[in-house]
Amino acid sequence: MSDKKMRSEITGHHSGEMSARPDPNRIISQKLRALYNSVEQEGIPDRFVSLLEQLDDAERRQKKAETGND
Amino acid sequence: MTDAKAAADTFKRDLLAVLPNLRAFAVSLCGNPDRADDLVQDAILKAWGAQANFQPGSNIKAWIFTILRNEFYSQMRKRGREVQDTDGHFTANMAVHPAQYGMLDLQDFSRALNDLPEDQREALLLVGAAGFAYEEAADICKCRVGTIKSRVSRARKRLQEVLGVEGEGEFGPDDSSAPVTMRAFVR
Repeated sequence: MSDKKMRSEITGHHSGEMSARPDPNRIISQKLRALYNSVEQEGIPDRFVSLLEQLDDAERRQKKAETGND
Repeated sequence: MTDAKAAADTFKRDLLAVLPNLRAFAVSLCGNPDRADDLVQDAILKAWGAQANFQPGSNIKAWIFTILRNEFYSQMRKRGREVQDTDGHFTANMAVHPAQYGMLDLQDFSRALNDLPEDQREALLLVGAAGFAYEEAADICKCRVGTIKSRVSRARKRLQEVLGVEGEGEFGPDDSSAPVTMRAFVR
């Protein structure tokens, strides 16, 4: 094993030299979060907002019917 | 406002608050945005129907993630592996260029993620992106904490191999350019 390879393995598990050499796990984590955040930042599609409103309305109407009135 | 009404409003509000995260999980887990949204819709319907089983004050995020995850596996069993096979075929035909490390775009990452076994992918997503502790992820996946840790570790290792990050010392950026590349990633 070369010194270079060994160093890369060492820094792969410790954060000490992160500024000099990116930790492979850190690169993976950043990519993962970037991908995840790109979807997360799309917010809530309208279909889900209206779905929840419909469910809510249906429940209200049902409760009203059960109790007679509010 | 009655207690029941207040509880229902809180439930709806909390559900909405967690939806963007849940949706990101669904998209990343099944690798298909349309199918992911159907999955999210099914999870919302299931959660709404099971509202009475939810303990107010307990972790609604873990609860709805569990519902979505169970729905994912149940649909996958029903459908067979048609969608996954297609994705697997696509990924298998993709050339891997380790030398491109540092310039990999998110699409490449997404393909590599999609090519992981489901159990490793979900463990990595729950712990590395969705914001769950190992213990919570273990509860969601109904396995032991050690199993989650091992899956996350194997997933990271596999992604490093596929994306050529592991051998960075040999064909990645050198010491002087590495910090520059890091800045490019986080921008």
